[in-house]
Amino acid sequence: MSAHDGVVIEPEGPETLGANISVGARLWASAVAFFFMAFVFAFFYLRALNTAHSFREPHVTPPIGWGVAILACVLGSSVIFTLGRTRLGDGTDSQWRLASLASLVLALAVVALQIIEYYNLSFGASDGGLASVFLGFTATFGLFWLGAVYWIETIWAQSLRGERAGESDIANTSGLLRPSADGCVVYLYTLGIVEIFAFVLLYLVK
Amino acid sequence: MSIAPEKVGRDEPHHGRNIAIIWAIATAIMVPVIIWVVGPHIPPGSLTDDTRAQHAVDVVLTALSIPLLMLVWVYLGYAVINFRADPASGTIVDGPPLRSNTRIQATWLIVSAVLVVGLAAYGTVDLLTENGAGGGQGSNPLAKPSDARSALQVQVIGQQWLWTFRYPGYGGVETAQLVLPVNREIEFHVTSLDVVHSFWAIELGVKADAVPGADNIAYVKIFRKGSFQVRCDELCGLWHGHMNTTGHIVSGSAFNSWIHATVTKYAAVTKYLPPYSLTYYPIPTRNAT
Amino acid sequence: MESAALPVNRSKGAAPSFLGQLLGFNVIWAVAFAIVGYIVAHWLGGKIGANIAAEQNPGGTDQDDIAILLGLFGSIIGWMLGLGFFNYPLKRMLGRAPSLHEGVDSSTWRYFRLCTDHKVVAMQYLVATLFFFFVAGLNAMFIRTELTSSNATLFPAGNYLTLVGLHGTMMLTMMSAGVIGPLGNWLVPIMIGSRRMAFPRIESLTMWLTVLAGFVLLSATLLGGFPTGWTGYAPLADQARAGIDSYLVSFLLIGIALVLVGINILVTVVTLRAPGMTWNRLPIFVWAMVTTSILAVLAAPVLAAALYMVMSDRSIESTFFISSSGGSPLLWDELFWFFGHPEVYILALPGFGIVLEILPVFARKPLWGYRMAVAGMFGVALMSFMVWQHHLFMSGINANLRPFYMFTTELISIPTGLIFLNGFGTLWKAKIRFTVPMLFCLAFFFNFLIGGLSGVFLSDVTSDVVTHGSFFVMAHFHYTIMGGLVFALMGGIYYWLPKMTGYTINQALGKLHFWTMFIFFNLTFFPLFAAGMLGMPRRVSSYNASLHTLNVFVSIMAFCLGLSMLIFLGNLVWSLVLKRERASDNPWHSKSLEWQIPTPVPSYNFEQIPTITGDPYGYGLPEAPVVDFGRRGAVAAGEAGA
Repeated sequence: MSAHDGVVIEPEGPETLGANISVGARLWASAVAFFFMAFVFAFFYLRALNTAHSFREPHVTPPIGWGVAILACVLGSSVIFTLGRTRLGDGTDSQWRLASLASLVLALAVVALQIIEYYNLSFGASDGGLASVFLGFTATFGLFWLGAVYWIETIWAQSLRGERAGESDIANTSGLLRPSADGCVVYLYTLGIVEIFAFVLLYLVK
Repeated sequence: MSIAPEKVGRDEPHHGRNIAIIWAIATAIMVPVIIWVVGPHIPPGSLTDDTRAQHAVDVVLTALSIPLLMLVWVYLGYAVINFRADPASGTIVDGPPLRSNTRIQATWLIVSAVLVVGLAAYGTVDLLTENGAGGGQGSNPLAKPSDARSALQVQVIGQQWLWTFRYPGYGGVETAQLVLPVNREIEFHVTSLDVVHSFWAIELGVKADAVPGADNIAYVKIFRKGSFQVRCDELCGLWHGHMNTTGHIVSGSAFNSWIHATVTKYAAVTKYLPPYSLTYYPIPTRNAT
Repeated sequence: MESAALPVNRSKGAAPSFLGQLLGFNVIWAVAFAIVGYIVAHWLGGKIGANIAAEQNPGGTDQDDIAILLGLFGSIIGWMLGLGFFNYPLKRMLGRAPSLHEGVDSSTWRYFRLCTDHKVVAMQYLVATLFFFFVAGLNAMFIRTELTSSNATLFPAGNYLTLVGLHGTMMLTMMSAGVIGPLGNWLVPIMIGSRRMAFPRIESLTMWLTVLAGFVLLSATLLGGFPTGWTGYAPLADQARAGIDSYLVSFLLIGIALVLVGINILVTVVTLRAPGMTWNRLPIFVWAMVTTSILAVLAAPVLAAALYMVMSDRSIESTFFISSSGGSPLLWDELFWFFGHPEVYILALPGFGIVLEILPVFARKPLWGYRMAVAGMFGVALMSFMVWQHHLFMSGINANLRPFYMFTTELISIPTGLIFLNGFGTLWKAKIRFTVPMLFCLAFFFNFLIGGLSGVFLSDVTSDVVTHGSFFVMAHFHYTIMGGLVFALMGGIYYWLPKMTGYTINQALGKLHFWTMFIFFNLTFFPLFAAGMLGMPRRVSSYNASLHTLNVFVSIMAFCLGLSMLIFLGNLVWSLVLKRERASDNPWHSKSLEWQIPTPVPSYNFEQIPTITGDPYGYGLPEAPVVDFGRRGAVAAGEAGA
């Protein structure tokens, strides 16, 4: 192998990498959608079976105020990030930086609100099917949402730092910002739809 | 070694015809053997209407699979013998560059589609006419026997690692003995108290999962007296392999006298049992040993 | 490109010294941190569990599960920390620019750490999956030992069930990674003319998660074993002792790895194909990987969700599967088999791909009906999402859908049948060379046919009443998975290992391995069809005494099958460790792209991204160039390049 070590290959441009992120983000989003499909299925299945008439115990009433707040923050974070992306450019635009920061703050607020909601629940996990689905759905949503927080943060941080020549083996790394942001939008909207499902099923459906 | 294209042979034998002939002969020999020699010995016997249905289906499916089996074996064998490279020559000879043949592909697709649709239709008709063929049909059976109303109801309760049986027509008496009358439609209601079990009486041709909180119905009509094995067919924990019992099939009058004796014998216990119900909801144990 | 071209060796100068390598991120630290992570998280979980128990449930029972589950997750974090998987994400959080290379140098250490060379990852995968394959095979030997007696308990009942569960789970998980991991990661980039996988770091992550999953699963033996088999039926899984936590976490890790490896392969194939590698020229093995990946990406998340529900039931006492509190065991059945049936095609499709890839080489003919083969694989992949309820024919779910699932299950035999037609068309008037890989491929058709035909019995509800959950099913899926996938995998290993390692594999020992494996495989599993029809349920330690002779015979044959696998192991040791005979660039005279590059393959695969000029099956056409290596393509293309 050492005989070939003198071979010189060119660093990759951002086009392929961008395509990778774009396709990968969509596939990841579909995997996430299937993950939550399991919880949606569990909701309807257990609700239909209603074994021992215990799917919905009378005191299991998820606090709708917190639910609305979480939904608003999820959708707000997604929409603001999408709007900010239109001003992304090479990542130096101040409106982009502000929008992505706002999106990040809202995204973190989702996690905080979710934790606060858990402290204000009138029921525990053992209180029937709905309680189980509620806790499972919201907790795993929180986990996946942390992924979104991370993604927004990396794009924001990279655009703040800007490109530094020689740091990477990829030519023109700032060219990756846009596909990365696009992928993030796909993921955010997927989670947004999941959260709408969660809100309707867990808080509204009687 | 070098690679040379194949010389086109003028006197190529008719491989297709040869394969077809060998296949036809093999099939013509094997199908009757399967139907009349092997067929009668295929389990699960002819004790009940369910086992008769299952046996018939198994014979049909085995007979149907023989032509396919023969096709593949004959073709593989023929190809391995006739389509081999000459190992003696040092050159590697390529075969003809055939890429595809629309007619063969279309034929294959059509034949397999016809087979599949036919199989599914046969299976569906069979399932509906044979009252579910002894399989657990859930709480709302798709196929009921005509005399389902007068059927003897027997509740099968699985729990780790024991089968018990309740007879709702007789005050819900619960026993560990399964005794069934001959020549009468029987309606099993299978449920469980803890984990998923599966009630399998192979001689009766009955199999139904015992799921806690669910009522699983299976029908059977038994034609002869005798005894049969009950086994658990779904992994249910430590002694799954030992969750067996033996059931007995007796005449109608013998069944009546047995059930009345049992009702009397257990009268003192039966009143402490939970009232008969299609499902039971005991508090589950966790971290059992 | 304004920036200067970079040298291939990314380690910025010479590889670090031995001490430097030892102190860097590697598997030694990973093991250490995993243990520390377990201890710390277990302690933390104990605190949390005690709190919850005190608040909600004064007689608290389940604090152990919180501690153990958290401990296992802690060990995952420690493992990844030790391997250095957090370095890059942290750098990205700090806004550092992305990079594609990590841990690539020429030292042996690259096999023991995070390395982004897809060939290194593939070799790691191969060693890992084979290791666990042998561990799981050893469990099978123990199971057969227990079954030599109809009613004895050679192993205590709990240990026996743990053996059954370990065998099943480990085989399923490791074999679902067994092709897509080693062969998929090694071959897909090279076959499509790429230098790398799309996400090299994720590729490495999947491999190390798979390794960890194997060891986490084995840790069940330290936590009291688990009684559920690989299907993990709830509420038995809710009720079981702590060993099941290992099963849950291990399966979850495999699920995550499957999703990630699937995404990685799909993205690679979509974006990184070389110029001229049109969809029509994609090797059939790559198509098999694509369809497998689609299944993995869509099915494994559902498993992950279901596993989460069991963990939640066990730790915070939710009631997803407890019917007395509004849950239902049937929920697990549905979710598990929604994953479980695609999973068996995750196991089968790579086998199809390997066989159809190898057949043309040794038949010296083009792959017959290429488009139909692709359509067949997609058909299988699509259909596999619509058949899962045939696992629930007896479960007591609503019976009205039964005819539908019977129909879809039988329908799936059409695309599967196409694979047979492809194979037979390829063999038609072929010039077969009976090399070891070819023998395995021919045996694949023999075995898979029996597996497929027995599947027809199981798809018919009436017949399924007898065979459901019996040894008939067990024989059926061993015919499809072992007779299908494992035979194909063995063929693939004998075929590609000379390229992957650079050393020839002994053909005489290979033939001995093949014939013993083929004969004893059939002698082991064919009688088990009869055992099932005669009333022997799966996973039992005691059975009807009348089946004793049959089981003793099967056990002896199984031990011989085990010996045959030892011949395989011996062959690998002999050929790769002791003999070490250099393999030529293209020993099989294949026209496929991976054989046109030098052996051993340089870390960058291609000096220049090649231009593809034809599909890899141009046999019989002397003037059918497959690839153009470009101006600088001073690569010995072997004789077959022609």
